[in-house]
Amino acid sequence: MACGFGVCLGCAAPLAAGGYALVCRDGPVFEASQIAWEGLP
Amino acid sequence: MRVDFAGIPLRNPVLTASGTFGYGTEFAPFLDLRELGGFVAKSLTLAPRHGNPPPRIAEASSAMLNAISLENVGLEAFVNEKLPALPEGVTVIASCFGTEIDQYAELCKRLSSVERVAGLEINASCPHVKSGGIEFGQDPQVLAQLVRACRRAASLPLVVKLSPNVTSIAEMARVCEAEGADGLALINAGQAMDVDVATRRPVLRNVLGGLSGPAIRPIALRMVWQASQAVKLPICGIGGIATAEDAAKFLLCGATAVQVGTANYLNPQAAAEVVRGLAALAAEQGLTRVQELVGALEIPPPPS
Repeated sequence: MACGFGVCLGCAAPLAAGGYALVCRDGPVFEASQIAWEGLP
Repeated sequence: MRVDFAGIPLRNPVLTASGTFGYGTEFAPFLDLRELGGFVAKSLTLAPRHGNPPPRIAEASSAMLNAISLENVGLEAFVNEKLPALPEGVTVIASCFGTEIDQYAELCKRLSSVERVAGLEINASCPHVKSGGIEFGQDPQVLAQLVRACRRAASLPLVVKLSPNVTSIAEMARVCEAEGADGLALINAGQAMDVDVATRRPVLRNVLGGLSGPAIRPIALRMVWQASQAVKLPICGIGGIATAEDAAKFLLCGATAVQVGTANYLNPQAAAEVVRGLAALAAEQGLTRVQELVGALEIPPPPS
């Protein structure tokens, strides 16, 4: 991540429901079922 | 340090760059937003946009690569939620982005009637669907059509943010001046990539991204200087500014105002520090006004 406070939008985590959460702002811990694992590098 | 930039009154010449400052409120814990000349909000599209899959960012030498791809809340949420959340007295410039010219024009038209928006910045660095992936700002004829359409639709000061991925920035500057732009902002990020030798993959999922930060400052200074020689339009200098001295370099090269971008990520107070530093620099140099630096670059004559 670049900024760590939710502004650069670099730490995007793909969501199963579509779209992205930010690891710095919304995480860093997520429910496993929330994440679209195939979308992670 | 008051200055009029392209018809937008600013309390000082230091703004923050689109995409690096969110919608402003994200920085309220770190600085008084009213200490800045203003800020340029994240580029808006008509509808909300999700952005690219990760990895979206990577570090480069004294620089950063990004391929966020314009994730934003969309016009409605910006006007209805983000703007009202800002304190009074903060100067907001809205940035417009689209894949088609008519989308830019629609954004210009609708944002022009929003009272809290002081000016419009046209993000001309995005791949253009009709021209097969070419940035609007890379083709002078397409750029002319874009600026013309925005000029017709906008009733606010109109600033065009230029791409550095061009052969002649002077040519692009002249196009903007001819089509009625009120000012220019340059540069946007330079098209770049990096690779991971262990995985044999590009570092960005999108392969290509934009390079920003201190490494691009000499390129940005060069382009600001070239643009200032080519047109009379006021210029906002952008590219690797982290300190007042960096900002002063852009003023000397002909910029009337500056934007702090990537530095915000490392130091959320960077822009406020640049404001204070410029005031101190002006005092040190015995200037009455920091604007005395604008275009004051001295080029010694060639040796005879």
